[in-house]
This record gives sequence, C-alpha cells and structure tokens, in this order.
Amino acid sequence: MARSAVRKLAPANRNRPPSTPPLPTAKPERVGLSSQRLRILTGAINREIDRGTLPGAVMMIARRGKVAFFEALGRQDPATTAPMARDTIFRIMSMTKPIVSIGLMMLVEDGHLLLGDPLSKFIPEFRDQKVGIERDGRLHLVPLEREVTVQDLMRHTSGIVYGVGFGNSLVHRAYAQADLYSRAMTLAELAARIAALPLACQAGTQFNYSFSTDIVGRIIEIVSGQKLSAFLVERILAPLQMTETAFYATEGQRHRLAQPFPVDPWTKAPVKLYDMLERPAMESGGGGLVSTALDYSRFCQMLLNGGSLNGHRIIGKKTLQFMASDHLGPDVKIVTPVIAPGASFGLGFGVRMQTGMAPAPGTVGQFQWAGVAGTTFWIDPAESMFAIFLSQAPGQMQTMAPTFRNLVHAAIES
Amino acid sequence: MARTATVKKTPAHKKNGFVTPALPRGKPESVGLSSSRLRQISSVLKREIDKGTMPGAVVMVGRRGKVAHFNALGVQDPATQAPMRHDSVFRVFSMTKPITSVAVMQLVEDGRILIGDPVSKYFPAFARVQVGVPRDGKLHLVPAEREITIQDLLRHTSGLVTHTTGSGPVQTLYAEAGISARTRTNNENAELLATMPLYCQPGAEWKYSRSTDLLGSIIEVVSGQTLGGYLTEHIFAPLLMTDTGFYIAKDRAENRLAEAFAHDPWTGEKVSHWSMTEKPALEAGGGGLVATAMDYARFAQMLVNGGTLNGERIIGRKTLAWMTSDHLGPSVKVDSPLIPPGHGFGLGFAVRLKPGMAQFPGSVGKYYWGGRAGTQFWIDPKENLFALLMVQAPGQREYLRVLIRNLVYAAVES
Repeated sequence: MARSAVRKLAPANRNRPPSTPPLPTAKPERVGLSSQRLRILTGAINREIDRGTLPGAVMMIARRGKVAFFEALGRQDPATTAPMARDTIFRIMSMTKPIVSIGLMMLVEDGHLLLGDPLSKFIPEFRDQKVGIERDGRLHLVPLEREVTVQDLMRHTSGIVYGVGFGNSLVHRAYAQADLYSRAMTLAELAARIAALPLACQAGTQFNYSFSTDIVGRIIEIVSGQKLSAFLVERILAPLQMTETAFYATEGQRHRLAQPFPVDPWTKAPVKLYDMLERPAMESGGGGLVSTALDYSRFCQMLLNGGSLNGHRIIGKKTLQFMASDHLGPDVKIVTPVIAPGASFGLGFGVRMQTGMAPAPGTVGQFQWAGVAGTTFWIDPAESMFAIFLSQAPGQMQTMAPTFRNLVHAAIES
Repeated sequence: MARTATVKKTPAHKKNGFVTPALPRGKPESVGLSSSRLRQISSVLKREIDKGTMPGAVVMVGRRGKVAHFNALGVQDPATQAPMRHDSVFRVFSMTKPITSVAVMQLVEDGRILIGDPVSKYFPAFARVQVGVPRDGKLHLVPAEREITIQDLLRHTSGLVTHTTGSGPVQTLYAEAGISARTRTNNENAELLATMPLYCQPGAEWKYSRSTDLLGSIIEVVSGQTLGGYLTEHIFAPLLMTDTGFYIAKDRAENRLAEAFAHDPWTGEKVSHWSMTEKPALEAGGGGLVATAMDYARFAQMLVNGGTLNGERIIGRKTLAWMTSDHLGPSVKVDSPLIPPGHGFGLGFAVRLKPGMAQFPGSVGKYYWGGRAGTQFWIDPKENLFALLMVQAPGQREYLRVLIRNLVYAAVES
C-alpha cells in the first residue's frame, strides 16, 4: 500500500502509523435497535464458535450514522491463542468488488469513459474474442453479436466467467486450465489470458459471476494511468481514511491477521487461503484486498450517506442510486447462483428487489455483497443502516450469513 | 448571466425590443448541486472542443427553479471563429417534437381533439393506408387492422417511419419520395405521408417517424392557423421564447447562428444543414425549430413546474403527468437504440421507467428528447431539475448525450 499517500492526511508521527478514525457510536436504543436482541446475536455466534463452526468473527451494525454494535468474538487464528480483535485484518475477497466498481464510476463521473464503451476500446486483445458454443462435446467459436461493454463487466453479463468451481462447461474447463488465479501475474497479464479464452455466452444475455471486475480494475489502470492500488488509495482509501485496506498486509500487522481453520470443520477438506503477508504482483480488482471492520465501515457509511463522508464526496448520489439498481432486468439468465430469490444485480452490488422471496429478511433497496472467505455486508438506505460480518470460514457462510442477517433484522425495533 | 472563462459577458440582443428574459440564477450549493462538479462539466466539454469533437456548446443546469450553471464554450461557427454566445441560435431538430406534442395536448384540453381520434378524421386519406409486408423481395400491401390514432402519432406507434430509421423497402420509398424536403406545406406533406405504406400494423411497434410532422399538419387543420402561428400564440409568446421559430430573421440573429463543422470530425463526411434565416414552406412539427438555450430553458422550466411559468399555464398538471408516463406497455415491440433499456415512451417524450438498466443515471420518471444535431434536454421531476445541451455536431450526438448525463448527475449533492 502506498502509505506515503495516507501519511499526507494524518499528522506525522514516526512511532504510530496513521490509524483509521472510528465512526461515532451510540447505544442501540438511541438508534431504534434492541440491546437485548443484539445480545441474542452475540450468543448465537458464540454458540457457533464454541461448536467449532468458525474460529471467530467481527461484527458491526451502524444506524443513523452511529455504530450501535461492534464486537469481536472467538479467536483470531486457530494456530495461536490470540483472541479475535475489533481491528483484526481479514481477506475480504469479493468485498473488493464494490470498492473497485465505485472506482470505475468515479472515472465515468469525471467524463473519462462511458458505460457503453466497448471493452476492446481499452484492451484491444478483446477485439477478436469469440463466444464458445458447446455442440457434440466440442467447442465451436462464433462471433459476438454485439461488443462487450463496460456495463457488461460491471454487472457480470460480459460472457467472461470464473473457472474453478463455477461450472463444468467446456468454457469453464478452458478457464480452469488457464491458471488465472496466480498472484504472480499482473492485471494486464490476467486480462491478456482471459482475452484469449472464449466467452461463455453472447454479451448481455447471462449473468455469470466472473473475473469481469478484475478487467474493470485493469480498465481503471489504463484510463487513470495508475496502478490499481495507487488509484484506489488516492481516490477512495485515503480520502475515507481507510488506513488498513490494501492488497497485502505489512510485517507490522503480522500479529493481527485472521486465519481460517486449516481444515473445514464440516467436510474435513483442507482450507487454503492466500498468504496476506506476501506482496503480490496481482492487484485483483475482483478479490485481492485485505481490510478491517473499521475500514470497511467507513466505506459503508459513505455509501449509506449517498456517496460522501465527512465532507469528502467519493461518488455522486445519483450515480450511486444508479449503481444500486437492477441492471439485469427480466431477460438476462442468471447462471451463477449468487443472487438470492427476490434480488438482482446492479453495477457492483447485489440489489434487493422484493421484501419477500429471499431466505432471510431485508428491505427493498438494500444493496450488498460478500466475500467467499467468510465476509458479508449490506447497506439499507430505507432503514439508514449498514451491517458487516467478518470471519475466515469459507465453507460456513451458507449458515453464518443468513444467521447474521436474521438476527440483525430481529434487532430492529423502530 | 454566467461569466465563463471563455466568453465575456455578452450583451443581450435588443433589436425590436424583444429579448428572452433570463430565468432566475442561483448558486449551485443553494440548490443542492456541487459547484466543483458543475465546473467539471464545462471542463470536459472544453476538453472535447479542444479535441475537435464539436465547435462549441452551450450547457445549462437548472434546479429548484434556479439556473445554477449556464456556460457558452468554444466557437459558434467554425467559418467565422466567433466565440459561442449564451444566446447563440441552434437548430433544435427533434427537440421540436415535445413542443408540438404539448400543442396537440393543448387542443385536447380545449376539447377539440381526443387522442383516440383516428387521423382520418383530420386527413381522410389515412382511412385507406395499407401496411407494406416485404416478401420474396417485393412489398406486398395488406390492409391496416385498425386506424392510426392521434395517440399512435404522439408515441410513434403509427406504423409511419422516416427514411433514416433503416434501409428496408418502406424507408426506401420515403427516401425516394423526398420526404424530408422543406419545400412542401404541412398539408401537402400530410397528403404525401398518406400515400406511403406503413412499416407495420398501427400499434404493433415503436418506430421513430414522421408522425410528429403529421401532428403539426393536424394542428393546422384544427386551429385554422399555420403551425408557426399556433405555436407562437400558445407557447412561444406566453413563455417569452422570443428567439424560437421555424426560422429567425436575419437582422435579429445574423451574428448569433451556431453551425456545425463542414465535415464530420470523426468520419470526414460532409455536413450540411438548412439555413436558419430562410423562411421555409414546411413548418415541420417534427424537427423544424431553431431556438436559444434560454428559450428552450423556459419551456423546460415550465415542464418542471408542472405546466406553468410565471403564472402562465401552458398545459395542465395532470395532462403533463399523463404525457410523461409510459404509453407503450409490454405488448408494443421496441427495438431501437433511441429507447434505451429501462425506458418507455409517452406522448412526445422518452420516459425512464427503471432506475438501473440504461447506461447512464437518472431518476424514474425522468423524461426527455433530443435533436439530431446533438441538442438535448431532460426533466427530472424527482430531483426538480432540468438540463440542456445545445450543440451542432450530428455525428457526435450519441456520445455527447450520454457524457452530459453522467456529468450533470455527478453534480447532484442532495
């Protein structure tokens, strides 16, 4: 992380690096939440920790501009005795995507590109990409009926996919063989490898959760002339004083890193998450950031405020409303099952479209995302609320995410 | 009037004593807009001017009844290099259509037209129109299943087309008939349109068309006035739009005429536009007006106000709400880039139906139209806002249209 950019904002102090300022706090009842029901939330997560479901968790709930609940439970790292701390550092994985998506829309607001611009305008290697149609067990390549646009990338309708674990079609297998998860290559190299692969569908026809946001990160680099990390620090992380969000952790943070169980408690399969202390060439726009609850809460409060925090406008109010609206509509086939019933997808966020339907409660207009290592957040404009759950328990989010969502909503009184 | 970096304060044109009064000005922050982000609009337009995208532009943003941003940039006429003026005169082309549509609805409010009326009530030849069905390389004529109505004309579902909406056999017939000639009268034009086969059955498909020219002819039949005479008496005079008409007198405007580059800056093709100071035989309700930014802004502010300006009611509030709602519904086929995703079409305006989907931000309920030389305006009732871009750059209109929308919305603070 370009710490020099951050030092410019905080007072110089050789002994203590600049730290993320906390948001104001308030007792739950002051903001219409129930302390008693929040204690039930704490109890339920502790129960799961005691059961060995996950090593520990950090949770935060804020409403009407105040943090009303902020707890660290369990252990930070199964290999040590260190308790989970409120400033523990987590791999936030795909919770990187909303940050990068905001970054792209900042460049749109600056007049540097349009959502309708073709991807090939920025990365010419994509000009000749073809769509792979499976027939008789073989892959036939057909031309694109229309160009992939920046909007397609932002809402995962580009035809680009993820390889491992997201499907078994010939296109998915081609992705799996292309070694796309290496942290030793740059975004430019990743883009070139993806450009050489066939698309899984015609642009705009399917939602396939994908490397598209990594390509968005590469477009940011090309348009801004900066490395993705430098752009994010200058335009988002430094203005929001998110001092511990970066593509790797520093040596000084070694004892604050959250780790998963080495073996999944339910399936017994080994759990391998990347080494946060390694400085990668890959600044993955789709999933490479590490962060803390405090840091991400400042991003969330900015979103809840409609794009600004403490006088720093990051993104326009209308641009954010536009991002947090449905961009799929009824005709796009949702292939990757990462969108709950009653929800859809905007530009970088899942968006709740209905009050019912979903496996957990929520409000129409909520927008959210999650990270596969065990993190999730949502913004609820109508309730003036956001919530964050951070853990490193990749196989357990099917249980932990709805549990957290159910119990947080149960605590909303008025 | 705005002082800008590029244009000195220009003296109001006072010949004949008639000058379009300016709308009240307001500081951006006082109407919830960001000064710095509004400056970015002009900065980006200036960048485009310097790049040679267009000779110059006039841009205006109004909110909560005040003009918060009004800039004239670049050059008015590449041949003279005169600087663009705030009161430069532009061919607004299809920005004529909303004005003509409001005029039709004034006659509806007078009880003289019903939108369900068949066009044949005003031009009997339309009772005999047929639909052209291409088959085996020939155009077969089949009867229309129902008559074309005034509502069809207002929302472009009549089956009429125009020569620029495709290269099919019907469009070719339009081109061969010289449909865009300005030498016919409105009456002669209507009779000519009645001889053309329809592109599709009335009501089946949205197809951009000469329908609004036909509405102009109908206004003449119903009012007994020329279209110019009717519009002046019922819209331009009450709104004090003193520079708006189907031409402008040479001695009034000869140093204020905005022109395009002689050749398209992107394709090299020759660009030629009709003379703004020559009185045409055809007062084309679909595209014949010239206007200044402040003139059209007074029309726009009237729309934002729900139909009145300074006590002059031009159209009823409920009539306007009816006009600016979707009149297509799910069964009308729409397949045109002129209606972006998430949008419908009302009686004379495109209307935004969804907050997402399109490639640019905007509130649900926003309504707009534009002209083929690049002029555009929109009304955002939810944000109490209008925006206006005046330019003569036909080949660049799609690009400028979206760019301006992104930039204006980025400036909405609260």
